[in-house]
Amino acid sequence: MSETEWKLSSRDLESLYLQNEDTYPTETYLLQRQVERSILKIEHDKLRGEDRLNRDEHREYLHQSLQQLPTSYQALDASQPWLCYWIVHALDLLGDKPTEEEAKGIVEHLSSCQSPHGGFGGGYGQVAHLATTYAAVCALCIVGTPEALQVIQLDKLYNWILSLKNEDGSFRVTEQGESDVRGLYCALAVAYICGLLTHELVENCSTYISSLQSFDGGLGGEPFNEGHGGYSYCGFAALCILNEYWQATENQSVPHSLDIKRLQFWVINRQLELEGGFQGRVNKLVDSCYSFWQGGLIALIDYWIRKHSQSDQVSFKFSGEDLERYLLRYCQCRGGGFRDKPGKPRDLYHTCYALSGLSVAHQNLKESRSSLLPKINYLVNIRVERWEFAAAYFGNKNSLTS
Amino acid sequence: MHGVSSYVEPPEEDSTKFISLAKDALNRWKQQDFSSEAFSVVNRVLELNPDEYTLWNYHKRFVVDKIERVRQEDPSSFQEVIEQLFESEFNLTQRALYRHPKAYSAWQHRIFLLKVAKSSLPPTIYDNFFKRELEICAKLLDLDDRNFHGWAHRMRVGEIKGIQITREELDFVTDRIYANFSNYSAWHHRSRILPVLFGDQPEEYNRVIQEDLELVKQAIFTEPEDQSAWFYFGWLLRGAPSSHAPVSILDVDNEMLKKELSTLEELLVLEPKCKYALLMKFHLLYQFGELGNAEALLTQLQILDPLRNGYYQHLKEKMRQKS
Repeated sequence: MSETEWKLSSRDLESLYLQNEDTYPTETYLLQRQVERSILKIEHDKLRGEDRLNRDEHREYLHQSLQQLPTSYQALDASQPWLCYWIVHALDLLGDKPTEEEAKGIVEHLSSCQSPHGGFGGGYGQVAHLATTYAAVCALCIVGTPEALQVIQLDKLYNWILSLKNEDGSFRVTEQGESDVRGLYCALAVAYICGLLTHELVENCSTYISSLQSFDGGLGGEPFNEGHGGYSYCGFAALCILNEYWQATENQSVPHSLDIKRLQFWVINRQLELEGGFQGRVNKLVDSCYSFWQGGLIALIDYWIRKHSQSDQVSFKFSGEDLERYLLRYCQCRGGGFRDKPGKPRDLYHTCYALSGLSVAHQNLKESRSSLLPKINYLVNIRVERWEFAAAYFGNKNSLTS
Repeated sequence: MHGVSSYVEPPEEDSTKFISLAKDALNRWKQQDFSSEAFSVVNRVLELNPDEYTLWNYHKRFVVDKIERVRQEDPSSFQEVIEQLFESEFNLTQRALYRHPKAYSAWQHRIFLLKVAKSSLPPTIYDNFFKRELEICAKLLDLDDRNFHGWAHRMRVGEIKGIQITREELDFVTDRIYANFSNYSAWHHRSRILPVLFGDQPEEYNRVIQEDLELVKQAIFTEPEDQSAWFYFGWLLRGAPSSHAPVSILDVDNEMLKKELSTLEELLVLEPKCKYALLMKFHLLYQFGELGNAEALLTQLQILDPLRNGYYQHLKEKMRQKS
């Protein structure tokens, strides 16, 4: 097996497309071929420059976004902490941060999202929600000052999270809200960061996570749902957090019945050859956000395997080079920001997760290189330094070392 | 969203207007203001942004309170009034979902309504709600056959109603598969309902699996590059185990596997570069102990599928350890 076969960037993408062109035309294929053509168009563009990360443009876009969000973001009125997190995390990965004034505004804003009963909601006057709580806590960790972290009312937060717990181990995302693995992940991630994990909180969580696996190995959002990148990340990252807790308290691994080998086979087959990026589910289209959900999942599985040293399991990394090609060559927008795929407009969510995915890609390159994006704590998707600061602040003894 | 068409688009508001509407609505929630004026504000916001989850809680509170109130103050017209209440609530979520087919809180609100309907209305009425629920899912799946909310909802509706999976559900899934072999969500749904439908009838289950093998092979020969059929095929060859039972009740014997091996070889004559056929063949040869031939397949795969090179390399090493 020659080494040159490994470098897909020199592979003939055109031939991959032509090989697949003569397919039975279901709607699925028509959509897939459309995406592939849009990629090839970029490949053939003689004016295309070198692949490089347009740091300055992205920074400008992010800072601008902090000042004023366009109308289309009214759809995110119930997700304001997410906007904060996407922006400050993206800036952090670019080695930048909000100005002092911006940081003050962020902290005040997030503070106004905090519910008097504990947890953070989508905005002022909204009921607290686990997803927005995760986003708010992470954003405050990234701002990274004691003043920022002091905003979090820990006792109320803990009681509120506990109040959302179901008997089967899952969590409702908000009172009377839906229960799925996002809720469980956000609850555990927040508790993990803030040093709030307890036996009571983690009871049955591992059983619930194990129940999410479908026949192909992927994890769905709820039992009986099909394998999906976002949920697979949430489920497995939550399992890793549980494992940290069990190691610290019981000095053993968390008991579970997840077939990790099968999950791994499912996820490594999510990287698409021609595009280089990841799809979220079997037979769906590539999307830059899955660079983190799927790429990060592969990295976490790799870490788990090395930690447990089970020789039966595959320790396998994906093609960081191809993922980087997808992100830098096809997903960067003029004026800054990243998009889902060619043809879509940029947005802050994809900017955040494309950059997070790029950081993962940089940890999975065949050859080492300088000027890589900073490392992330894969369990919570904030920079390692921010995690360490928060861990020290909250007096956490469980910290994940890579 | 990818290829999903929307229903009727209500007129947009500019962001300043929206912000003040949302503020107003949240205030009304805080004050528990259930006047008709309040409703029109709240519902306008939900129309524009069905992810405004706090306002769905407003509706939940209203429903619960109204049921209690009418039961006490006007029991003779309870059924009529409450049926109307549910109709208007279902309509609201339906409009929201046609516009935003993946809005979690809108789906959740329907679950809430179904549960409350079941506990407060007679079966003659709530049965209609449940029947209609499956119709709504079907319509939304017409718009986007990969909408996992729609698929999951079908399962949940059954759970709430307290019924097992039905043959009709199996027919529904079969139709979707014939409409589009690449509809992985349909194959997945099938993998969920088969063990439930036939779990306690091994002979019947075996028969259905044999039929499914023929079905999936049609898909594979039509489109050998399609992952959907291959993943399902692989599951069948493992004995179609339920995710919740580690060992299958089926007998997957060497006879059956040898038959499928010849199917794979037939396909590989037509499509020698088909990655999944090669990988499946590898697993079968490995199971039969033909390690030399198996390793050659891995080498082929490493060239055909370089993104998974490490995985195939690992399989090689694992095999060498055994021999």
